[in-house]
Amino acid sequence: MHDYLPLIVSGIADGSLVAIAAMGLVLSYKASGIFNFAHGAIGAVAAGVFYQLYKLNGLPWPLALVITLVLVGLVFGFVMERVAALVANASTTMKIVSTLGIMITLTSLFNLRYGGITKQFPDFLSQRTFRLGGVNIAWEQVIAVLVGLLLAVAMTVFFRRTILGRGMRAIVDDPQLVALMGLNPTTVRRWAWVIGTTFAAVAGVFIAPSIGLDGTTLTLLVVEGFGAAAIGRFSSLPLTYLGAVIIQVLVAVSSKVASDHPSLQSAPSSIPFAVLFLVLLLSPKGWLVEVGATLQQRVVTIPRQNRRVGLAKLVPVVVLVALVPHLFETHLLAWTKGMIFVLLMMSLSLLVRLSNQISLCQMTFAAVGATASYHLVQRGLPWTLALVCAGLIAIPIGAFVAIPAVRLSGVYLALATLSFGLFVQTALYDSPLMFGNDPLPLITMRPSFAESDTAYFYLIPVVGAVGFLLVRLVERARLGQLLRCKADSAIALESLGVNTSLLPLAAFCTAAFLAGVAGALIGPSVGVVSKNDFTTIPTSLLLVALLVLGARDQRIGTLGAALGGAIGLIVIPDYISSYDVLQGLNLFFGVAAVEAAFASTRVSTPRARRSSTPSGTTPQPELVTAGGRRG
Amino acid sequence: MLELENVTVGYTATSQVLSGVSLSVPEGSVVALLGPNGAGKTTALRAASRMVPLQVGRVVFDGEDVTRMPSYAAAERGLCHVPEGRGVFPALTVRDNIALFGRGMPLQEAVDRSVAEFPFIERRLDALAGTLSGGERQMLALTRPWLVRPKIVLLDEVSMGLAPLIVDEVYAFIRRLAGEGISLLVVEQYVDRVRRFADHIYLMRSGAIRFSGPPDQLGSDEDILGHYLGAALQE
Amino acid sequence: MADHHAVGLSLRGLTVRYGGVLAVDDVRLDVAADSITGLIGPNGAGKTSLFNACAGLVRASSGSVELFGQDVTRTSVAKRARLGLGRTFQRVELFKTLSVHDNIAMGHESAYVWKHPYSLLQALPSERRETERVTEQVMELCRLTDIAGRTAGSLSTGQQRMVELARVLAGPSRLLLLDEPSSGLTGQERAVFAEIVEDAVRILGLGVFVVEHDMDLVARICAQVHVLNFGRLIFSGTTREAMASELVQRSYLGESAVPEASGGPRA
Repeated sequence: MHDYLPLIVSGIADGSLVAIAAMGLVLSYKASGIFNFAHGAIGAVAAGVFYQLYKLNGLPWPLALVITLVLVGLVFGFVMERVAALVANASTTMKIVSTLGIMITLTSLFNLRYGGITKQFPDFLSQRTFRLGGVNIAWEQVIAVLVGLLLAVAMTVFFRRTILGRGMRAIVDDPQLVALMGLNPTTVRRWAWVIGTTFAAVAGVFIAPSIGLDGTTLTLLVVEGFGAAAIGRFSSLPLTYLGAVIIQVLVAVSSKVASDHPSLQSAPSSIPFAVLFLVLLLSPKGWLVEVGATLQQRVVTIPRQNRRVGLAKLVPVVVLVALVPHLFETHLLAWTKGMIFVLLMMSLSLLVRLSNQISLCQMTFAAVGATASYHLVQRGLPWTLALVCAGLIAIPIGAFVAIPAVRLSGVYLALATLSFGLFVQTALYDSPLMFGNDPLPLITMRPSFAESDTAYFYLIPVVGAVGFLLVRLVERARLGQLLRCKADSAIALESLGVNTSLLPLAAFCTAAFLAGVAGALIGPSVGVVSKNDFTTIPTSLLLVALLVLGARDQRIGTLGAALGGAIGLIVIPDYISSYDVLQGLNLFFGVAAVEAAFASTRVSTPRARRSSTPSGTTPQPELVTAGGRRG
Repeated sequence: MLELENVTVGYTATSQVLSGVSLSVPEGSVVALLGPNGAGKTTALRAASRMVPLQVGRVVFDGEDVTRMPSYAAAERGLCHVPEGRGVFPALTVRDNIALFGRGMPLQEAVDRSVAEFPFIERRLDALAGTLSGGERQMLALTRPWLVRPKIVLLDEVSMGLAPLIVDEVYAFIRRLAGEGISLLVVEQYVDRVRRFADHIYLMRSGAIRFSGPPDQLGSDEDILGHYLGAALQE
Repeated sequence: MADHHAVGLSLRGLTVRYGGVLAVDDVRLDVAADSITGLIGPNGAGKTSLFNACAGLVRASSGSVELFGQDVTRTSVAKRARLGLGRTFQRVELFKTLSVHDNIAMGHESAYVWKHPYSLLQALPSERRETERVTEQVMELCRLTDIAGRTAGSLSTGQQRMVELARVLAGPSRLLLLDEPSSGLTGQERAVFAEIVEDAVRILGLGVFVVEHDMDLVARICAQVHVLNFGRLIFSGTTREAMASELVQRSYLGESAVPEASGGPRA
């Protein structure tokens, strides 16, 4: 037991810091109804600002801290309030995309300023320790716990006792009534955002010394707070605090256990994501209520593809693909990988565009496919068969992720898929069944009939065409129509007697199959495959952002959106050798995704085409019942 | 005190909920806005308290044109709108609701003054407002004008869904509000509740004012029923 | 009441409670399976709650709901629909991105979903033919043929209500719940709507249970009405009887009168 005491102490200290971030997240979510996926990135930016002021500009740390918190809190509080207001009438998917876009933007800004290499972060707090009950305790840890507790108590009192705090609790239920009390709803929301982002900043600055100045890691650490927020049902601050402490103590204690068992080495870091996924999976119905969901009217839906893509429109695509090996010989491998990502994007499109569900773990399905086909080929299975099996093996994984999708929607589904992706990434990528413990990438083989680069390149569009037909089949089949209907009005579909709960399952299974096949193709394109090709953050998130971006114009079909996204994500970066320009590109993607989310609320009436009526009469704009209302 | 001039409101470009409604509430008077369901009474109040944008017309409150003002600013100037059936925050406790209602004064004072009007509040202070009965909820909502002492109170269907004895109690309270010299604009579907103490009555149907005058000119029950139940009655 | 008619829906002691509010209080009524029955009453009388309990959107606190003699009190919305209960919504719920034609076709096609192993993939040729036939027929009945190709989301309220009605008519429902179908409609649209509902009942042999504020419309189409006040059934009879009833008139004017002896203030 004594061995574990120091671990418990450090778990409580870490937990307090994560709790600060989580409480900030809950606070702004409660008041605005917008779940801020960029919360961690804001914390990372705050760490960067503090680093600048303290380490580079040499300010004393208390001053640097105060300036950082005020600056970051106010700037992002105001920015986030505006963003939230602009997407208030957008679909849940677009709300998620807007904060994902901000996350991508901030991460690339951070990387532009501080580079992608982790910098040593100065220990600005006292490093001295004291002994209590036989355990060495650092003052740093004491401060972390005190700050965490202080903020938790202060916030609880603020929420319960002040007008502004009460206003924040009331505003999501009924903003108009808040206004009737003479309180400006915008002011109330803005302060909620300011407090929320300040909390993220506090967490970012205090966590940074232990892990260094690294945007992605800092962002991820705050994502660990999502699990705590889930324990607090995304609403209770004390429970959130408690949840964060419990999770971090578990992480600390299990790292001790894992150090004795090499096979469990990756288990501790995956615990926060497992907790988040399990809470979402197991929470009873009605336990997690989407904040503000009842208030939004779905004014517009995501632009949908026309279902009759004329063959003529495919011609330029076919010509482009046929010419690629001749035009872009030096970058052929990137073009190959890009073509594979078209398939991956199409699989995502099935979820995001057709059924209005969001998946932030598409790369996880791809990783399953990639490793499955690698191992199957190693065991002597024919290449083509292994490819199909890779897709088939991904199906049950997709079905598993779809279990929460049956009950959860919108932001909670996004969180479930994100946590699943991060869990698999942290816990299972290293297992021998997947990429293995060896840091070296896996050497993959191409099929005997397509050994050359060019031949392999041409193989992709062939597989892609099959995938495209499958997507088209689903889109045009009854399932596609039902998914569209469900996205428009689930209650209407239920009232027609359709049991809608299993529809997401079918969509997820198909998407997982396609992503699995795509994943299996990635390795052989360059000859090696490693876990770094399949990160949830940022790759899975970029996929979503780019898909939405590609589909900004509703005239762009599934294929067009997928093609554009894949070229932006894979092909263009291959032409860019400068790290800064690459980050600049990501920055552009982030900003453009936010803009696409804003734009979605401006789209006027969506278009639809008559699908199967034989009579083919010209649609008459004239009214039947009482004429002359709309021409 | 409050004037609506030629107010036209439509939720979409093509359909109008109010067309050219003009009405006025003189200082210290009680004005009732009556009419059947769907006549546009609630929308008229929402237009007055700046919750819906106007297509045409203007709203003047206390000598000031408030047509472009956000609703919280109108509220701060002394316009208190108790909306239909949901004048409280169900997810907050009764105490929290009272704190938000009387946010200019110490909480204890606000609570004491509310309890003095509606004794049941004392027992339910820590209950969520959403667990109150319909009557209790309405009375809680009515403590807001009592605490705020606004220049005008807009009341929307305060009797909706309440049993007659409760409605009696609610209206006794509204009379006390009027007795304090606060102007009242009362929307009501039940004619008899207000015709006895209103100074002026407007009757609405299909988004327009169909009658305006003192209560004694309103005519017999049958005439009013004609408005409410439509032509069906006369068959 | 309605004893010479077949009963489509019958409520026995139905009670619905939300938090501290008793929205529907021990209501017992029958809805005929082959004619139009109205549900009227002042605002806040509990009509929508009663409707939602019939459709399965809210759970009855006590009492039972029977559909064509089968107890459906604990049955899901979708299952009730499959048993023949169709409905429209107070705030129109259409598949906004689909065309008018596809909305109505889905009303019919929904019955085939999960019917055979590949029902999610493709419609059988027979199913497709039948769907097309029914859709065309219903569009004709509801006078929507001319706008069949337009996106449902771009229509006016009046047209949307009509599409919603057509969609439920295309399905297998034998009893329709119409929730304030005339709200947002112009006078002329109401007249057309009433005509079509009457035609549908006559041609398709349906029962209709309608919540409606427009008394002219109720008087015109309803053979029978039930009047609700304070969550309680205060009157059942023909529309004319209801209009003439002093009790009903007073419920609209709001005089302090609680019917029957069991009354008294409830809070």
